[in-house]
Amino acid sequence: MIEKQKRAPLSPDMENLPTGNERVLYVDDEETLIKIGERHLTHLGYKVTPSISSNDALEIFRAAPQDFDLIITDMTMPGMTGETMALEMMKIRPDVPVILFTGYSSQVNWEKAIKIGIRGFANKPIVRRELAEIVRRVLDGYDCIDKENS
Amino acid sequence: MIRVLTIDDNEMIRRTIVQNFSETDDIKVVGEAVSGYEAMDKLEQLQIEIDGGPMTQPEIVVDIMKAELKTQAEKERLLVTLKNSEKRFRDIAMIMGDLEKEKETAEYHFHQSQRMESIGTLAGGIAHDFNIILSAIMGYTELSLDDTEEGSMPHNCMMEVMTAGQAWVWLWSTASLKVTVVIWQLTVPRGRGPCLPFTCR
Repeated sequence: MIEKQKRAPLSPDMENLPTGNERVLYVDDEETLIKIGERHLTHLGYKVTPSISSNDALEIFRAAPQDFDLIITDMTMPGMTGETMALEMMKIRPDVPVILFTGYSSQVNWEKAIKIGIRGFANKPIVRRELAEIVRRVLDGYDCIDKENS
Repeated sequence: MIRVLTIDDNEMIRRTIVQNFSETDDIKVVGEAVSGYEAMDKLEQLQIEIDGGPMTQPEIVVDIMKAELKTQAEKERLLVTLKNSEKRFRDIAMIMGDLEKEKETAEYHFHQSQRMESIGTLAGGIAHDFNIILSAIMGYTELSLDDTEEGSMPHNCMMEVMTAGQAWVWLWSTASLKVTVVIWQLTVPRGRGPCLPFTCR
């Protein structure tokens, strides 16, 4: 299920992590968390486009919907929530996989996420291994909903 | 004849009405209820017995029993009220007391649910912020780990940070912590033991 690839030079700790070279749009209103996500994913071989605003991210996506293989977004953001943004993006390109990360979520959010077609859902904080695995699994066509932590 | 359903959570008040009016020709107490809910049930039964047909909207006389009919004047006042309204009473009149207990209970439950909801929202907000702060701590620690030698002092220290962070993640994921926090906030400031039966989202 999780393929082992060595595309990027990795530190010894990362050797067992699943990697990839897909293009990821990473959206979070916390700049500090964007940096972490971007660095982790870049280390794993992915091409990351970071965006600090959901509105900007939607415009980036609208301009070139085929340029991204995966959307990773925070849930709670000023302006447009991650969920609304995901819905808008899925209107533009229904097959685009979306992973939703959240700082705190209720059962309702989790159920809603599945209903609108979110492919991956996990609670923060997310460590590198978790990130690597959820990204790879969703890109490989599996749903990855963290039921336990909701 | 005016048929009366008397509703009050105070038995004394209900008794007074029954005694005062049960022998009056004009007014007949046909039922008693201790709460609004019971009154609705009783009313439905009474409607069927009286009419044998579908229920029509009853007239409701609210709060005229506050004086508990202690004086003749109050009884007269009630009689006048009922008689003046007679034409409007197609089927039945309801004499409703304050139902203070019921009101209080309803208000208590309402406030309690609002309280729980706001605490839940607050706890959710705090959890959200906390998890984001923890994300930054754990994220940068993890990135720094890459550049330290395994077994070295900085590496070991940073591994401890990661372990502590994971412990929180585990605690949080079991959900028991969320419940504990909410129970504590609800019960301790009110001087009660944490034994309220409720579920938290």
